[in-house]
Amino acid sequence: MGCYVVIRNLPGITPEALAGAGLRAKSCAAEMTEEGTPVQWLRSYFIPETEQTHCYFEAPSFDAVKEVNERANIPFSKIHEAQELLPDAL
Amino acid sequence: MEDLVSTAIRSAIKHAKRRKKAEVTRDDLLIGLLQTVARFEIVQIGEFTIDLEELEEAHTEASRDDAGRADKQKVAYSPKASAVFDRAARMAKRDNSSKIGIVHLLVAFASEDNMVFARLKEKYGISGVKWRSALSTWQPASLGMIETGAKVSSATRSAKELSDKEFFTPDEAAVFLDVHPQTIRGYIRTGKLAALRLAGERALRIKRNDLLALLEPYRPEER
Repeated sequence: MGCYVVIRNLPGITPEALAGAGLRAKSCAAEMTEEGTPVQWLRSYFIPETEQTHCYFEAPSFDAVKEVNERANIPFSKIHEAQELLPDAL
Repeated sequence: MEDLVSTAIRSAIKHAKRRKKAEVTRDDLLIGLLQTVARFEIVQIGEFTIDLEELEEAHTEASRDDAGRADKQKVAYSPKASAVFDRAARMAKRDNSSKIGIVHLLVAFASEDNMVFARLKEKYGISGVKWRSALSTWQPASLGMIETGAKVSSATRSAKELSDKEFFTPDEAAVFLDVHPQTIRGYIRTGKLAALRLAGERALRIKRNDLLALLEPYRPEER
């Protein structure tokens, strides 16, 4: 399982619309997990100044992350594999 | 315990898959929402008594031509269904709610023209205003408590608090066994679980021993 960050450029997006998208992402991740591809939406950060959203997913592959976002109908610009660093682990 | 909104959305996705649709449409979403709050295939919202059985039949019939066209394993939200989520999120915000509730998703359909909602309009005389008005006061007590995660009420006490009780309401029984309230109602409906009626009233009570009798030893060789 890897950690992936999905970068979205969503100019003019409201926090409410993000909530709607989040609900869709959550349900699609649950559905894919039930189908045998375990995907989990970990968390997201919205950066008001750049109007970018960074969403972190745990998934077995890049394709699984792409698919969950396509299923949830949430536009994205890039997906990158990421490495998690936690203060407690250092 | 899965919350009501998640249950409803999963039901919508299942509905789309069952019909071999590539998309989760607004119709799938609305049926999933209504299924989740239905009792005996009936949904009571304000003055409207909606027969879900009839509605589902009509929907399946109208969608039959689509069967086999899509990959049943992968369904994505349609743009219009996605817009319903966004509108529901705005409704939740206006409602000062920190979470999108089932009522927000339902009220988001008020201005929609999808087939299932159009049928509701036609059959029950529902208009956008009437729908919003009916939903503005609609909050089935037991369902609402679970959905919002509100603090303990007589309907949603913790399992620990319920451990000394002799008689349970269906919602308390659901908490006690950590299952969805509709599971308990289904057991009662099919006779799997005995329930008692308070004389002259609708309220049901379940005896503690009858609940415990539902549990049986798990044997690993069982399939």
